[in-house]
Amino acid sequence: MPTEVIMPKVDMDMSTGTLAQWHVKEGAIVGKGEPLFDIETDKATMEVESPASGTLQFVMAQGGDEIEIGKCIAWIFGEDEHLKEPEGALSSTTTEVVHTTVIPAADAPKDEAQIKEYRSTNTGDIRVTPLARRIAKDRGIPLETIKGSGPSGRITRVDVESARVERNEAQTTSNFELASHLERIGVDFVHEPADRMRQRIAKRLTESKSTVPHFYIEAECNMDNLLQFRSDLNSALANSTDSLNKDLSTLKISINDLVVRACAQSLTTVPEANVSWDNGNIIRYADANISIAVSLDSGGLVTPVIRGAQSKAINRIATEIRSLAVRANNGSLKNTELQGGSFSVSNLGMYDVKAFNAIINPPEAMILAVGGIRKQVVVTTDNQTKISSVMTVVLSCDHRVIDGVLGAQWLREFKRFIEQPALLAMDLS
Amino acid sequence: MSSAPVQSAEQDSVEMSYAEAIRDALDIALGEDERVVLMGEDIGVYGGAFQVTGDLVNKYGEDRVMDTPISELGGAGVAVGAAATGLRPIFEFQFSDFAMLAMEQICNQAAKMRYMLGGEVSVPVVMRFPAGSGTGAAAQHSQSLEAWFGHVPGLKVVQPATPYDAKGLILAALDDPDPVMIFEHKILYKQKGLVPKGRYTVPLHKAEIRRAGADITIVASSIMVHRSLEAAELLFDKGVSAEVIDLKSIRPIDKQTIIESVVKTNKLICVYEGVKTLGIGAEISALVAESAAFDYLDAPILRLGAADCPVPYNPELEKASVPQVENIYQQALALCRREL
Repeated sequence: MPTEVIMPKVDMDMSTGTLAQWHVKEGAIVGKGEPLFDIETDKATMEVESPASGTLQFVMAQGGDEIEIGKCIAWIFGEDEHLKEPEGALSSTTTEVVHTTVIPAADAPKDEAQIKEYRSTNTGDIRVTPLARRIAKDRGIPLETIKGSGPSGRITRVDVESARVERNEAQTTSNFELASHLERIGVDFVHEPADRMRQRIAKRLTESKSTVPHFYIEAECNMDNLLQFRSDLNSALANSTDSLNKDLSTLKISINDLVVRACAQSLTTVPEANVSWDNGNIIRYADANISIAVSLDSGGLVTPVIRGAQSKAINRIATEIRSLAVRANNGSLKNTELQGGSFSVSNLGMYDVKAFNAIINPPEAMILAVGGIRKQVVVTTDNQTKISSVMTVVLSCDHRVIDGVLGAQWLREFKRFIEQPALLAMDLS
Repeated sequence: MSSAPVQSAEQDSVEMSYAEAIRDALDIALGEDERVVLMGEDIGVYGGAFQVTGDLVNKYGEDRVMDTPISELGGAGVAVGAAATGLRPIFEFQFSDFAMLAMEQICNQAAKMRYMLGGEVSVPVVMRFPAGSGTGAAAQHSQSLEAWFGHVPGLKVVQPATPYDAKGLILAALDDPDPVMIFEHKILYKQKGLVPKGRYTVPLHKAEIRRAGADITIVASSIMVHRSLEAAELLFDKGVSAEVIDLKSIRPIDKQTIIESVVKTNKLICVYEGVKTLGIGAEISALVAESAAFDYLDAPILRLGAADCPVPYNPELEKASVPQVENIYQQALALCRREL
């Protein structure tokens, strides 16, 4: 039996994948495990290996095509397998489904049952009458948004029609309606489609802000010690060219590196805050996996993750952040590097902002919004005034798993690590 | 050929039964065309098992209203041969069930002769089959075998549901150069209706919308047309507007009328008295699913046919084995309520 090549699922909330390009031409021979095609997700481009050795035939998708997860896009024929076989088999359910290996996807389909599960989440498996499907398509209403009233939730015409009414009431200013409205009132503008990343940001953050109950706690950190600490670190590194390797001696530790380290330390001393809400259950993370918001030169942002930051020294965190930032910009981040965060840091300090509130990056429960460092007159413990460097941070918390006190405890810890930076050098894990 | 204008039909119409309408058609045909002969068992002096031919033998004589021996194969063979050689025979089976004995003559000879002889010979034979259940005549005298004949290229197969159509279809069948099978329903023989006097024909290939509706299409034939119309009346009381199509012909099937109706109503039930499996409903379901109407379906297509068993002798079981008004009503209602 020839082997089916399917569009794999490489990301949790992915329902379609974009085929970037084939590495093998139709009719050419490919070995099992050799690169077969690339898929493009909104985060990265990934290479998919061939599930079998043989000749690539019946290629049903081309570069740029958006394809449902689990859908067959081509066949690989072994030497003794006949060309005629799959024609009938294309729509057959008895076809042997062979898992397509993806690097580096951790959650690609592993067996037939899993593939079935993926398929069942596709719109292709929504029960809908032909008429309802056609009306929904004509009117641009996604079937996933319609509740069916027929047996087993089958969507019928009335369901589509009532969905349309609700939708019209709810969304009087959808994007396209906005464009036509602006045209009507004579406002000059350019209407362009958003790229996948922008759409993903829009979708995820809308979901977060409308479903995750946010609350915010603000703190002001005295930065005098941390600035001194950083300056000591950097001059010590620069003065040690004789004993340290070049990478290390030329490394400049940034404020942000130290902030990330302080977050990791705080998650270690307040492990109750290192959690996620999981639909009625609580996930407790074993490690401080810190997502760093990295804005891209090309626009948009990604949040690569430093896993196990609690046991990584300052210099390792610093080099890792440099590497992630470079690779985020050239698009070579691996999918695994973009997933699994338990906490996020978003730093707008370099833009001279005082403070801001960030939207939680699901499924994480907290995000720290870091403002710029500024000089300020402060009152010392002995009631004297003094000019100090201060930094305002705002912690956003998911109230489903983080209560006010827990958030405040975490923030107090963070402030302690920032204000007594020698503690950042300790391994508390 | 000649066809009575519809407007003049009413003033010149008389009420007669389905059997009388058929006899009227036979009478007109015998009177108009001396090539027309009737053949069948007991159709002469006895007047036919269901008294359809009646006293025609007295009017036209035994040369034109011929009793045939008790051999369906022989009788049908004579009719086919006579048709091939210039007569216009109308052959009556006592019960459609007995036609199985004559399948060779009907399906292998009559249906294929024109094709196999390069069009040089045609077989304008008309065969009449009293069919259907409801008479307590048990498994060998109660079948609805029309779909068997509908499977044979070369035949035309019609099922009149009213006296008007029974007469018009017989006269149209006589005008047709090819073999036409007319499945008459035994229960309908006594049903009365207005029938125009004189000659008129009803097209052999055209279905008719018996009741217009907006919510569901019920395609039926023969007696099922009447049951469907009764069910439509009950449905109307429940706020469901059913469109009832009288198929009339199962070969050819008037696809266009069915498809246009389904596009309008978005739902389809096929009701037929033949066994459900591999029956007329399967054909109609498939042709709709293959057509442009597919994209207009808002519910599964349903078939209501006879149970997959020999027709029972026990009257209650006999009734239960074929679709009744209540079954049609319930199924149509469930479909419209999105329960199916």
